[in-house]
Amino acid sequence: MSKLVVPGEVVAKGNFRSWANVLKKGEEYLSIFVGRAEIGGGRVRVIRLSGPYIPKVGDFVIGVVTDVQPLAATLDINSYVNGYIMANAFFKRRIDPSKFDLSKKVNVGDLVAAKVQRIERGKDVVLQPDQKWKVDGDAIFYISPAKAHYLYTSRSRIPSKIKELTGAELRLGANGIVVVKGDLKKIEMVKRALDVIESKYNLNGLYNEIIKVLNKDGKSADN
Amino acid sequence: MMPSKKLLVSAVRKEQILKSLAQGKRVDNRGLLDYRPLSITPNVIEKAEGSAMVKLGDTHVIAGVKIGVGTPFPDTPNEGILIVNAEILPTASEYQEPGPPDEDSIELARVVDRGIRESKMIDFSKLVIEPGKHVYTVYVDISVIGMDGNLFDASSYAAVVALLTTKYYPVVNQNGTLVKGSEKVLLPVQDLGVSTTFAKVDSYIIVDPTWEEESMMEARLTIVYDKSGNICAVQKGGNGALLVDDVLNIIDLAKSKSEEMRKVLEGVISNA
Amino acid sequence: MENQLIINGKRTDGRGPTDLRPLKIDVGIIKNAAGSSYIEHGKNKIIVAIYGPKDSHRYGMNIEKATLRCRYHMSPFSTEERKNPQPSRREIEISKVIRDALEPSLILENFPKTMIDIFVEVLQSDGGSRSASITAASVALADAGIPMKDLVEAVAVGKVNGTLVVDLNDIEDKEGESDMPVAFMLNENKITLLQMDGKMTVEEFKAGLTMAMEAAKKIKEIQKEALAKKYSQGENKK
Repeated sequence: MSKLVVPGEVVAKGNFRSWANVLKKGEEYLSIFVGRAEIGGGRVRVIRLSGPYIPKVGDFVIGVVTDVQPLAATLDINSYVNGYIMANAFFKRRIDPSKFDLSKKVNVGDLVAAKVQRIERGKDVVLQPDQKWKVDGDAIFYISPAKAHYLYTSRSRIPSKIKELTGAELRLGANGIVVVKGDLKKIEMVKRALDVIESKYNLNGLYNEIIKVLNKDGKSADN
Repeated sequence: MMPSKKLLVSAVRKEQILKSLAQGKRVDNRGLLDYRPLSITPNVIEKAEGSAMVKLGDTHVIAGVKIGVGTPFPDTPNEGILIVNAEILPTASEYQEPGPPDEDSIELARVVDRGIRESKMIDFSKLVIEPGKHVYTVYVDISVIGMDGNLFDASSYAAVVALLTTKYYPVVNQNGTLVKGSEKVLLPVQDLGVSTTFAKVDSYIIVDPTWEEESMMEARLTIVYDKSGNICAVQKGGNGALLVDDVLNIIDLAKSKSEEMRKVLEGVISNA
Repeated sequence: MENQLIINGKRTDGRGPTDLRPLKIDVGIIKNAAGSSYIEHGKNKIIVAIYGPKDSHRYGMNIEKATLRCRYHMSPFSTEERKNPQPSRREIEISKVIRDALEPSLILENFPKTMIDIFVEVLQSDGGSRSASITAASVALADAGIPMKDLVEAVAVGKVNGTLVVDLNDIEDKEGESDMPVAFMLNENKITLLQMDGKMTVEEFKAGLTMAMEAAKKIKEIQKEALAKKYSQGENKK
């Protein structure tokens, strides 16, 4: 099982080929986060357990539209930076802003699914809308961006297992926004699964924990 | 001044909240007329004469009472002084900037003040040391640490529990000098004003709104009832309007709800 | 005559010279904050909330790294005599030295043109409130996932009735001969806060620094335990 480490704690000693989220000091590798240490295969890394969503090119995210201008929409992507979608990207061609009205496509408050296309000047996150960019659902939840990003990058089986056991439709953004489609009972079950993700920090044990909670749900519903 | 900070509630979340209300439930699973879990802990600050920590869901408030000696106001030479001050701390939310109290903090302080003053909770005529010269000043300071809606009720409960559990050294005039007594006394309490707050979201009347619900409400109504069932303070909030029938409905709902909350507050005070 | 603050090697609260007052830290107490903590150290009761990093269009934002902002504030009921809620000169100075004590530990280059806020609210004050604030704020920053080289812990040493003691309480702070709060990044053997008032000999100063460092090691263990308590939830207990 991976070990819990705190900032400044020695994660490993020796020589490693690659490392992440640690500082190398001589032979020692010190964690810079509260996280889970993973050591092996010449590699040492810490998976952080808290902190903001840090956009990476290629990430699938869900954002909330906060502003619509003729040429671009601004999105709150649950991060310290905003996401932008150019009007062209919505219309899939160059447009003349005097003839097209972006506010006919998206409005403030809408949820949009998109991929991080590029990050300009280290700060402006330009998004490419997904094929099915309009996210409609029956419920929205926020989970810790650090954990969401871990589930996303590790191709975790957790989201598909939640879908399977609850029967709800689910879209999970790497930025921690989860949109669910289904009736109130299904939403309630998804919420319980997400509560497990939120309250537990043993990443290796999450999968089984969620199955346990949802199976209990299934049984009590039959009674 | 700018109007108060609102959360941006996404379209999907709004739908989720409204659909749930239509089925008689809030998104946090309580009924339309249920309060969130409420915990009240008196005497959390030893250096204050009175104090209370209140957690109402994720709304987190602490109130402290300090007793000082001051000069009475010229128009009320035979009455002690009440000063209520509130600060929504920058710890409470990302929208709260550090700085002098903003209009929300000042409104909050004034509404809590009204509930205490107008319910005649404390007999200020008994807080006189020497008429026209020396009276007690009762400072109630409210700090909002964490914010998730309904600051009015949480702050009011913190303030009244802090006041009703306050113990202080009385001061007497001995040959022209003010001398501290040796045994602590309670404030001269004669009533208990109980605040309840309702909001109208879409067409639904709900009690104890969360911040999200406040961000999409038409308006809010805070009512304070005294022990005998008189209304002693009211504040409508929010930039929308309420129907006359809504107000009449809320007045009745608030009466029974305040009786329920009165029992909770009295329980905390008698166990303190 | 000067007050007897040490009798038979025991201090007013029964401690020996190198003993810490009771110290307790809780992590993650404010839902809206990116990170938060609550510390009880002696009679100090302090809440810290971290907001950010957040986008800031404020003039003067650093284009290379995040800008750190700190507010240390005392609630009006936190002191024996009611404190005016307006920030005093003392609070403004302490806000600055807390920020300067924490910044060296943080890796802020990951978040250019953003702002990170440290909000410290002293609900009850006792001797050493700035030190307790730093200890708690460092834990809150770790809870917020702000990358850092090391946790920072702070503690005061001072001279009381001619004896060097650590972690001064209120009366020792006010009536002792000197008071010296120090903050450490122990991994790198670095000091990030150092203030002193009163008088000490050079030898006392040097010995005091060593005592503070030993005390900081104990505080670091408490910081680690506090973080582990929150972040080990879900582990199988054996």
